[in-house]
Amino acid sequence: MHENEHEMKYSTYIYVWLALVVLTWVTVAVASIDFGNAAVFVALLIAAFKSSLVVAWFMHLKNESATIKWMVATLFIVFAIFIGITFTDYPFR
Amino acid sequence: MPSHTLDDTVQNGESYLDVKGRYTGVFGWIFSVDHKRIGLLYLGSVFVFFTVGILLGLFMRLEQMTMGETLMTATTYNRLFTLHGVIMIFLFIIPGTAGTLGNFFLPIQIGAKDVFFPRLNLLSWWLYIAGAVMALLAIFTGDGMADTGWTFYVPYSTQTGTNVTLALTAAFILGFSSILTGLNFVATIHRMRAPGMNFHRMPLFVWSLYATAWIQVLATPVVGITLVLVILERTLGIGIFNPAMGGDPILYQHLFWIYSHPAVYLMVLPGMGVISEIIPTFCRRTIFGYKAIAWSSVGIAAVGTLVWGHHMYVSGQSSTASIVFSFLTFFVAIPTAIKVFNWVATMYKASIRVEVPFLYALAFLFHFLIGGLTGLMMAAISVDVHVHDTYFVVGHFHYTMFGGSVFALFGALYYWGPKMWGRMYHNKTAIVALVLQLIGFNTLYMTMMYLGYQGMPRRYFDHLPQFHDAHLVATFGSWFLVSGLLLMIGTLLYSVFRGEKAPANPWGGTTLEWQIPTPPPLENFDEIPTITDEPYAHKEEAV
Amino acid sequence: MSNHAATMVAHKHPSDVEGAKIGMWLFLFTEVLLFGGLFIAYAVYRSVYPEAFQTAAANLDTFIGAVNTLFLLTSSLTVVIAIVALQKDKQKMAVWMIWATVLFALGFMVNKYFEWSAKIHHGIYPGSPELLADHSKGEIVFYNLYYTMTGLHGLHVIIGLIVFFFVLYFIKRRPVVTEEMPYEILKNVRGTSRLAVVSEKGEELGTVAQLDDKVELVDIRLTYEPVAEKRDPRNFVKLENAGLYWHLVDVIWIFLFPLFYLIT
Repeated sequence: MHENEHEMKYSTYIYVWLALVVLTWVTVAVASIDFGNAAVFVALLIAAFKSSLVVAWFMHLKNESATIKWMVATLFIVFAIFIGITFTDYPFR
Repeated sequence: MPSHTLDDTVQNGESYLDVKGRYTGVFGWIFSVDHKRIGLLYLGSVFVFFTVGILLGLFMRLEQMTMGETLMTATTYNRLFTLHGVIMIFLFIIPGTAGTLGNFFLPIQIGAKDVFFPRLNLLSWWLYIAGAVMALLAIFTGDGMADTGWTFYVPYSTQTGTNVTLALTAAFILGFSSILTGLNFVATIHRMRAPGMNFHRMPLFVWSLYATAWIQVLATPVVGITLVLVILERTLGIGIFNPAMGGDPILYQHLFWIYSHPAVYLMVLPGMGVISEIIPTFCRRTIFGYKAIAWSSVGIAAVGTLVWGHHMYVSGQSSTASIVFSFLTFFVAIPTAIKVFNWVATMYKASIRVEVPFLYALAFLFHFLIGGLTGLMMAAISVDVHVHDTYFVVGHFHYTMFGGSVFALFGALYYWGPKMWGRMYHNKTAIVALVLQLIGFNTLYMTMMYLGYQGMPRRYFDHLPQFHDAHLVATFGSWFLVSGLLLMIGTLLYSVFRGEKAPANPWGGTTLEWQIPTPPPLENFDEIPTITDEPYAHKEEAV
Repeated sequence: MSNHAATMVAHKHPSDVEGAKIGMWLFLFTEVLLFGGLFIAYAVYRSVYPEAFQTAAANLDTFIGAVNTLFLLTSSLTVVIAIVALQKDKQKMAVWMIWATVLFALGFMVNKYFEWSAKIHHGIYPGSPELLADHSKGEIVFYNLYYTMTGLHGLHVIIGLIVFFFVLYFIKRRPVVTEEMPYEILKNVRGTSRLAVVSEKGEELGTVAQLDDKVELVDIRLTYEPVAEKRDPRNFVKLENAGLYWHLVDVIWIFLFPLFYLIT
């Protein structure tokens, strides 16, 4: 197809999918453990890991140019800032 | 006089205005994917709405001329300022400079033949029209135009019987149009620069559009979903902001200002870009501190996304939040001041050619200085608590938005108009219009700031006797302002159709748009130029 | 000439894949931030009502949520396989994989349908009297968010389905080409004498056999199954972009699942 496309293999994606399935199982299993307030952070951590697998491999961000990677980084920084600054309000009411 | 028009290297492209495409007449415009035609489509449409907005403002001033109910009821007044805000912000300023001049000159200034997604570009204009039509429909259907103010604050916006839902849908669609423009510009700037034009050789107008485009892409969706939530509460009863259902109305304000504060920078940044073009051209020298101005655009965009809470000091947000937001707000002054100092430094000891665009640039500086400094006053919580929701705020943001962004847009139309439609404006009329505008503008909004400091609240359709004299003065000012504006629009229209033919480079500009014929040919360049120098390299010349 | 020029503007740089990708990613950013506003709302309300959120989350069926997660993950896999297949020019495989994606997406929506209708049946929906009367404010907020966020997500799944149908159409569409052929040659090709001759306006004029030798050139229209190197490369870009969109829908669900089902 395009010369600059990376050669893609079925097997890689199947491994990634397997990892995602296992992580789904882990997140469900872990939910029954009582982490208290940390529970939501554990769940989010696993979700973040899962989504970075999807973004890096399925959306092949890891093969994209530095420009696109920087753009994605900007997005997450901006979103983190939005949430972060909003939380200068609620916990301090 | 014109320094180096490239008359001897005349290119044989037919003007984009003469090219016959698949369609002719009106269809040749509204279905054209040529960025220049789309730019002019935007220009025509934003000025139609601008005129409507001016008249709405004039009516409000007339109502304030006397005490008590004279021209209109309180509800009509409420609808009027809502419509004035919605039109001026969503239909005029936001697409005002980026959609018109950005579309027209961004590709030319970077040496490209069009934007990256030409058809998407046309779609964004169509979405703009769809949103505009919807906003107008909101006036005539249901219980009439919303009376909430352009901010649509809950809980009132979820309770009022007026046509908020349609107005919000209109704003949502207009947001989508704005996103498409931003997306297109980012892709264009990244992928379509002429060979040799690295980021630090781009004209500063392009830099400002780049920063603007990022705000459009990253902030607009947040307000989009926020408006949808209000629509959902009104239609399906999903009360995410409804205290009776555990919701928090202040969260609406957070989400609204996460977009709408950066939005004021997306209104002013292109204006600043215009000023950065006009000043070096008329000072006939390279701009002072190119990199500082370029990166300060990015700086303003970045810091501008961190400061939304300064609209909410009296909303009930935590005082911690207020302090953080106040602290961050002061930081915006730094990149802004960097720009102002560099512009002034460019003028220092330059042999300035004083023409109308340059006068507008000076007017911009004067107004923006006042608007910016009063902004700093209000960034301080202790001051803001007193002047919050008074005419002081109204005066302040008209100084920045109108005296700043919009005056820059006017200057840009005189500056680039000759290139866009190939004809010059009538100089004396243009100056008369500018003088009228200056007198009217400062009388109106300076008085408003005074009124606000005395305690006149905004959005009231009536006033107390002690405010009467000042209100009268403000209304007189508005007459000067409106006549200046109408005279200017007349002058520009006259120049479009009847003006003298313009040379390719009337001002001796150095950026790429001045190196191509006037009006530009369909594909701008016969041959994509190779860039070897900075954008404002004025050659030494005997004057 | 001018007509030509006008169309040229629209397709000047079909080969700049990187630019098209930037455009697609920026579009995805706007989607992320559209949901982002809701995630901010979720974060705020969860911090305000931590216990109520746990109580309410316990009423959602983790099993259905997990099954739906698997559906979406698997559909993401089938999309990438379709993309790889198209890249390797295994057109049939690609089409099958897109169908599989559609199937999983439908499965997701069916599950969602049963889940929502069970809740609505129990009187739990935005603004319902039971919800307002029997539940704490925090739980009401939880359900309002639940319906809004999964609703918006469901809408995106439906849009994704529609997009995949379009992609299928484009991949399966067989191009029609018009080529010129001298009549001398055409009439000597075996079997062509029975071909219909059609005027420019579309009227049937008869068959090739009825033409006389004054005719010099004939336009013939061919519908064909293109060989690998003649296939429209834009189909690949379309599928890839549809895939990017679909993965994003998946990523959002990856967050929605624990936030609504697992924080008991």
